[in-house]
Amino acid sequence: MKKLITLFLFATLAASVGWAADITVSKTINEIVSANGYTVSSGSDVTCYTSFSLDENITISTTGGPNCGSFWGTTTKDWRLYQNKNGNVIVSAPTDYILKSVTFTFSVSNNGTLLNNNGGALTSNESVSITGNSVTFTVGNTGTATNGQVRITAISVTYSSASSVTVEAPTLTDEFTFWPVMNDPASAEVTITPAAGNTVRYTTNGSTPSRTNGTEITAATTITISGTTTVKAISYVGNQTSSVVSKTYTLGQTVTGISAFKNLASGTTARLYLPDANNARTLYVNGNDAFIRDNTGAICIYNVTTNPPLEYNQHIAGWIIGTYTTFNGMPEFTASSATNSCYLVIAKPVMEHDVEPVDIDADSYDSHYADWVTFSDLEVTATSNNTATATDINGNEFSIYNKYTPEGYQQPYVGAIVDVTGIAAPYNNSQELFPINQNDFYPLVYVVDAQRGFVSPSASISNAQVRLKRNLPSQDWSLLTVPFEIEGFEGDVLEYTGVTLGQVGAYEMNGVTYPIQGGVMHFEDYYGNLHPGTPYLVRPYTSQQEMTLSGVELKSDPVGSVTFSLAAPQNAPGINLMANETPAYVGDYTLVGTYSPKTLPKDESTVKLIDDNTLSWTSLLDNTEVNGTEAYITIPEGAGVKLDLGGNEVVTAINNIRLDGNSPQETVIYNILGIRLDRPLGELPPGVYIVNGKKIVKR
Amino acid sequence: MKKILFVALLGLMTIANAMAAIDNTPVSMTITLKNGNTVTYAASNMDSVRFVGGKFGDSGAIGMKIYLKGQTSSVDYLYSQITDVIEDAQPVVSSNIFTRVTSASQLVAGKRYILIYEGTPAVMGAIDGGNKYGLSITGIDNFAYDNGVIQLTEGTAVKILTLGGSTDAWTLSLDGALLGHSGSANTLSAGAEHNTWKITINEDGYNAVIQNVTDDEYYIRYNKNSGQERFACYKNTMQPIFLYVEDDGSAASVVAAPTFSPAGGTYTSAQNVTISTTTSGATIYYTTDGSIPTGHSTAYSTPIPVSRNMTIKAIAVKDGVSSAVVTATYNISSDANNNVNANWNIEGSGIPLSKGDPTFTNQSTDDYAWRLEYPHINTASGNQRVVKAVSTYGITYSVEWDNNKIANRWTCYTMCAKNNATNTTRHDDFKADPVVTVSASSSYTQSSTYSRGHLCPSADRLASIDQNKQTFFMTNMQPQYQNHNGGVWATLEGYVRTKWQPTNNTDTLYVVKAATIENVTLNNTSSTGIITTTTDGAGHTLVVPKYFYMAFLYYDKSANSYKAFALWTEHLNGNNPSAATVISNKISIDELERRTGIDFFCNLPDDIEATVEATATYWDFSSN
Repeated sequence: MKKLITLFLFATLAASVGWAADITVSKTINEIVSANGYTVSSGSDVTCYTSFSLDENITISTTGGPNCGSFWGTTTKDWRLYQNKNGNVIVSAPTDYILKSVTFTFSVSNNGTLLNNNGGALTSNESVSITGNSVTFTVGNTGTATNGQVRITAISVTYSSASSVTVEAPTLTDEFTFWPVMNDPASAEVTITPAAGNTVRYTTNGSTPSRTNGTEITAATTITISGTTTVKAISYVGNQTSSVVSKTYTLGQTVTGISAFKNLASGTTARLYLPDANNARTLYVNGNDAFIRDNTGAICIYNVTTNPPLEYNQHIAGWIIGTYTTFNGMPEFTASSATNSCYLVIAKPVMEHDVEPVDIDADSYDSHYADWVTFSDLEVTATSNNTATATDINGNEFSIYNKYTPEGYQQPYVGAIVDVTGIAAPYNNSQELFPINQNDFYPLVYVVDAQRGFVSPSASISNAQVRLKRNLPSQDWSLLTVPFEIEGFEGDVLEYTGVTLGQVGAYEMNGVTYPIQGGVMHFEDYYGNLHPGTPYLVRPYTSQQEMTLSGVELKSDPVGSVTFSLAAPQNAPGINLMANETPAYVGDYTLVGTYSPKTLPKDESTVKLIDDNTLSWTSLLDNTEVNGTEAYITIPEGAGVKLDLGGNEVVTAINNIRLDGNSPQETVIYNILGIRLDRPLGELPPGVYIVNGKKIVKR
Repeated sequence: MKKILFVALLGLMTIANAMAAIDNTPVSMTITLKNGNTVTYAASNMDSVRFVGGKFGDSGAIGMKIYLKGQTSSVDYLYSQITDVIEDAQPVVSSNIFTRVTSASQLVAGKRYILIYEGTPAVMGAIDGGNKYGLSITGIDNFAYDNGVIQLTEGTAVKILTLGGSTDAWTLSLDGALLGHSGSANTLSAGAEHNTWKITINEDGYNAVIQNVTDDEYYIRYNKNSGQERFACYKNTMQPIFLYVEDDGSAASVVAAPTFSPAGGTYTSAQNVTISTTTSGATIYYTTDGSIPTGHSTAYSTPIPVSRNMTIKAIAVKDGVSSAVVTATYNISSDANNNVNANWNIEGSGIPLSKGDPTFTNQSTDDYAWRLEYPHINTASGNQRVVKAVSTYGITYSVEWDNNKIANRWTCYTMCAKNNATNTTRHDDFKADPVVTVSASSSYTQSSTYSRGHLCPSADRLASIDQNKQTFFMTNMQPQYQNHNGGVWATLEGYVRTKWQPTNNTDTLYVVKAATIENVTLNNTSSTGIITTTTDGAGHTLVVPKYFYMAFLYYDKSANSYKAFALWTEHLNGNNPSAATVISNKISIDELERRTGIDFFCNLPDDIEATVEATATYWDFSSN
C-alpha cells in the first residue's frame, strides 16, 4: 500500500503571472498587405505568405499546406487558411516577451471554424487570453465537411515584456516521513502541481531544475518515491522562471526491538518492529501509561491508544510507528501522526508464561527503566506524603513513589526493610519505584531479616506481605520468634510449658557416678498457630532459607518471652554434694525471643543454643550474638539446665547434648555443675572439671 | 512535594481504526491454539481480517487481527501460538445443502463439490496441510448426513472443491490451487503436476471414480486405516468416495424426495404402497432388497403390493439429478398376506387336509382361498372366486373372475398323485359358467382369430370325465390366437406334465396360469396388458391379453422345501418364440409379481415365500 499524501488544489487559478505595461498591436490584413506590398491571390494565381509580422515583436505564421496563408479580396482583404491543408495560425513573440491576449476578426466558408488550443471554437472578434510566448490556433469545421476555410481580416495582439513577469512557483506536497508497510518495500507518492498555465520541470536527483533540466510537466503530476528523496521543481513562462521549490521526503527508519528504539535520539520518530521472538509483553497499564518489555528492554507506551487496548500479559509483535521521547529520564514511546496499531498484533497469551517482575539491584536499576522490577531489602529511612525514601544495603537511595495507588498498598514505615515491586521510573537524578500490585506480585513485602533485625511498626499492619529471611534447617531444632502469626507451620513445633528439677548431667569420681541437678525446661508438642512474639522450638519438614507469607498482621507489640520458676526442693536427691549451699538452680527459667540480632551478656545466667544444638553459658562463648527471630534462655546464675523435648529427645548441657542424638566427637569438658565449657582445659582457671567423663582437678 | 511524572505531550489520539483497511473478504476461520483450544469465527460475524506480515505459514508472517462486527476491539492472534488456521475458501452458500452426485450430468465446471466417505462413521473431506503425506485430506467425521443430502452448518471447516475443465479432463481446485498427484506417493497436493481427472459416476451405486488422467493408476479414494484417515490419491484399493454437489438453487438440482403412502410402519394386512414426488416430471426408482436405488432400479408405476416385511428405498430422478434416498420399512404381521391365515397341513400327496375337499362341484366361494396355489385374491368389486371340484379327486381348479372385464384373472390348480391320474380322454364341453355374475358365452364371434384357450388344460385333468369337463367352463378360458394356443402355449402345457409335475406320490406342483387383462410393468415401465378386444356370442366385449404366463411352485415333501419359477410369453399371432426360448427367459415369482401386480403363492409362510419367490429355480424331471 502506498502512502497517499493529500494534495491541496488551489481554487484560484488566476493570477499565476502578473504583468507590467501591456502593449497592444492591431492590424487589418489590408494594412499588412499594403504595408508589405504583398501580392493578393486571384483565380489560380495563388501566392502564399506563411509568416508576417504585426510589429517588431509579434509574428503571425502558419504551417498549413498549399494555399494556406494566401491573401485574398479586393475591398476587404483576408489571410486565408484551409482545413484540409492543416491550416493553422501561430502567434508568437520572442522569449523575453509574453503574450496576453489575441483577437481575430475573421469570416468562414464551408462551415470552417477557428479552434483554440483546447479545441474550443472562436468567434470573430473574441479576445482569447493567452499565457506564454507562443500560441497556435487550428482550422476545424462545425459540420461534417473537411474543406472549411477561415478568412482572417484583422488581428489584434496584446503582450508585454517578460522581464516584468513574476512566475509563480509550483506546489509540492508537504514534506513527510514515510515507512514501509509491514514487510513490503517502502514507497510514497508526491504530487507536483504547476500553477495554472505554467510549465514545470522537476528533478528527484538533487540537481537544480531549470528551463532545460528536469522532467517537464504542465499539469499536476504524482510521482512515486521509494527512498528518502528530495524533489525540486521550477515553473517558467517564456524565459522567466520561478524560484526553485525543494522538499525532502524522508524514508523513516525501522528499528528492531525496544532497546534499539531507546537508542534513538529523543524526539526521533521511527517504526518499531517487534519480532515475535522478542517476546514483547505488556507489563502494566494504568491510565495513559502502559509498559511493555521485550527481551531487549522495557519502555513506557505513553498516551497511545491501541486496538485492542493494552492490558497486562499480552504478547505483542508487529510494527508500530511512534516517537521516542525521554521524559525526565523515562524512556517513552509516544504517538506520532503516523502511529497506528493496525500492524501490531496484540494477542492474549496462549502458552506463554505470565509476565513477572525482574529482580534488580542498584547496579542494574539504570538498565531497567520502565520495567517491572522487584528491588529487595530496601530500608525505609524517611517518609513524606506519597513518597518513601529507602536505601539499599550499600546506602544507595531510592524513592518509593505511590503514583498508581495499587490496591492494598500502604506506605511503609520508617525503619522497615521492604521488597518493592513496581515500575522502575527515573525522574531526572532521582531513582524511583512506582509500586504496583499485579498477579500476586505484591507492591510491598516487609522483610523480617534475622541478620538485620526488625523494627516494629508503630501500629500493627494488617494484611501485610512478609518475607521471613531466616535459615531453618530441617535436621535441627531452631528457636523461632516472629512478629506475626504463622498458621500451619510445616514442621514440628514445641512450646515451652514448664521447668522442673532434674538431672541435667552426671560426673564420675572415684568410680562413683554422681548426678548433676538443675532445671529441666519442658517443651511439648504444639499444633496451633505460632503466635507473634512467642518463642518456639521448630524443626521444619524441609529446610527453609526464607518464608514468604501474605495477608498477615505485622504486629507493633514488642517481642515476648516465656518464664517458669523452679522453687527450692525439700529433698532433692543427689544434691548433698553441695549440701551447705543454696542450690543454684532455684529461680526463673525464661525463654526470651529476639526480633533483632542481640549481643548477650557473657555470664552464667544466660544460655545460648549454639549451632550444634548444644546449650552453653554465654560466659563460655566467644560469640554471644543471637540473630533476630531467635531466642535465648535466662536461668538462675550458675544453674545447670537441659531441655526436655518430650519423648526421647533431650537437650542437656552435659550429656546427650546434641538434638540429633549424636555424642560429641572431641574432648568435652564440663564444670562441676554440668555446664559444657567451650575452651581447652589449659585455658580454664583452677578448679574441678569433668573431662570426657573423668573428674580432673586443675590446680 | 511530588511532581507529576507524565505530562500529556499530545492530545489523546484515537487512532485504533484510523487505517482500518479491509485486508480481505472475511471467510469463516477456525483457529487451533497451541493450548488445544479451538476458536471459530463465522464469516458473518467478521468485519475484516488483517494478516500482519502474511498469512499463517507465510515466511515472515507474524499474526492476524480479527475485526468483529459490533466489537470495538480487534481480537489478535500470534501465529507462534497457533497450530492451525483453517479458512474456508469461500463462505458457505446460503442454502448450505449438498446432494450426492448421481449422474455425470451433475458434473458442471464452476460448481462446488465436497468429498464424502459414506462409511461408518461417515467422513466429510477437509484438507490437512500438515499431513506428512503432503496435502492430504482428513475428515470431519460423524457429521450428519442423511441419504445423499448434507446440510452444512455455517463455519463447518469442510473443504469445498471447485470443478473446472471439462469431461475427461476435469480439474479440482481448492482455494484457487489445483489438486494434483505426482510420483508414486499416496498424495493429493495443491499445485502438483498431474492435475486433470477423469470422473465417472458409477450409476449402480453412485460412487464417484476420480481417476488421474496422467497417473491413471491413481484414484482419489478414502483411506480409513487408523492413523491415516484421509482422502488422498491411491492405487485403487481404498474405500470409494462420493461427490456431493452444492445445491446452487438451480431448478434441476432440486428434486423432491419421494414420499410413501401409507408410510412405513407395522400393519396387520397387506398394503399397496404408493410412492410419489412433488417434483413434476421426476421418475421414481425403488428397490425392495435394501440396496440404494439408482436409475437402473425398478421404475415406479403402480402401487407396490406389500404383503410381507419389506423395506422400500426410493429416489426421484429428474434430468439426471437424484433426490435424497428415502426409506420406508413395512412390517406386515405374520402371514398377513395370506388369503386366509390358515394353519394348514399337507398330507402325503401334498394336498392340505385340514380344510378338507369341497363337496360341491362348482361354486363361487372364497372358502378355499387359503389353498397354497391361490394368488392373493383381489376383492375389488366385480371380482369373484370360483372353485371347481369333483368328489373323488377334489378341487379341479380355482378361478378369479372379473365380471367387469368379463375375463379370467387367473386360474390355479395343483398337480399331484391325487388328481393327475389319466383315466379318460378329452371331453369337449365349452359352456358359460353359471356361478359367475357375467360369464363369457360359450363361443367367440371371431372364432377364426381367437380360440378358446384353456388355462387349466383339459389334458391336465383326465382323472375323470367330470373333472375333464370342468375345464371347459368359459371362466377357464382366454381368447387366444390359435397360433399361440396350439403352439408355444401347448408345448409349455405339455412340459408341465412331462418335466415339471411330480414323478412321485408325495410331492405337489402348484400351478397358476393366467393372462394379462390389466396394465403390466415391464422393464420398469408400465404398459398395457391387452392387445385388443373381441366379442363373444352373447355380445360381451372381451379383452385379448397381451401376455400369458404360468407360475409354478413345487413342494418337495421329503426335503420339506419349495422351489418356483415363472414363464412369460407374449401373445403373438404368429412367429411366437419357441418354448425353449420362453423357458430360457424364465423369471422369478417376484418378477412375475412386479409385472402383474399380483401376489402369487401368498399363503406360503412369509419367510419361505420371500426366499422361494426371489429366484427362478428350474427343474426338469424328464431329464432324470
